[in-house]
Amino acid sequence: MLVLSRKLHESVVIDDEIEVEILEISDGKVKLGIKAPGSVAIHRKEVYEEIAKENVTALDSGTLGIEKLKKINKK
Amino acid sequence: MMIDTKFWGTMEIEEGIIEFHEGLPGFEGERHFVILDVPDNAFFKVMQDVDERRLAFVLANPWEFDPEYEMDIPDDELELIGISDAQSLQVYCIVTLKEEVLDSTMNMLAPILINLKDGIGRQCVLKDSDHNVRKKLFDKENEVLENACAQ
Repeated sequence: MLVLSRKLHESVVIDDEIEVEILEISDGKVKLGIKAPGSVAIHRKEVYEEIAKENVTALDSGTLGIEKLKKINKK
Repeated sequence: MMIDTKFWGTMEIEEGIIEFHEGLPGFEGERHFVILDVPDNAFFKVMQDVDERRLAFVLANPWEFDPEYEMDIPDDELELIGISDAQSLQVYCIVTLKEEVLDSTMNMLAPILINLKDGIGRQCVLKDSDHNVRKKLFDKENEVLENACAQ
């Protein structure tokens, strides 16, 4: 991991196309502004990981038996 | 083409393969899925990975279970699947089945968005964190429960 210190309003540039700027620092929180091409996916890490985890759980649950869905149908 | 499915053995599919340029969170390498009907069940579909038999997800139309569901999808998310107007957009939520099927949940924070016309899809993490990753399909007040249970 590359570790850099930045002050308020300073930036880092990644791969020439991605820029991360420190917009605000307060209350134990840092507000980041991220400029990147639309094709670059940007996520809050813990949210992305939670979605990934739920996808895995959902996948495994299907094995429980799609037959269970027979119990639920439109009248 | 013939594909191997998780639930129904080998099947012939003629069209309808959807390309996921970024895969899915947790399954980033998976690129091609097809949406299959669940026999005799209009509530659910299955999203089957065309290249990997064991990867198949149960999907639900979120509005069948929560008619008030509102998604604020930024234009750049729609652009990523080549959509310029919401008319050609199809939306599903991934379902997590539970032992007691009526306790099953769906992921409303990260719906699957599909551009039907061009066959492109993605799982979009909504920025509105009010949405539930594990929203119960059947709530006590939910009429769907009454209308849904097969005899």
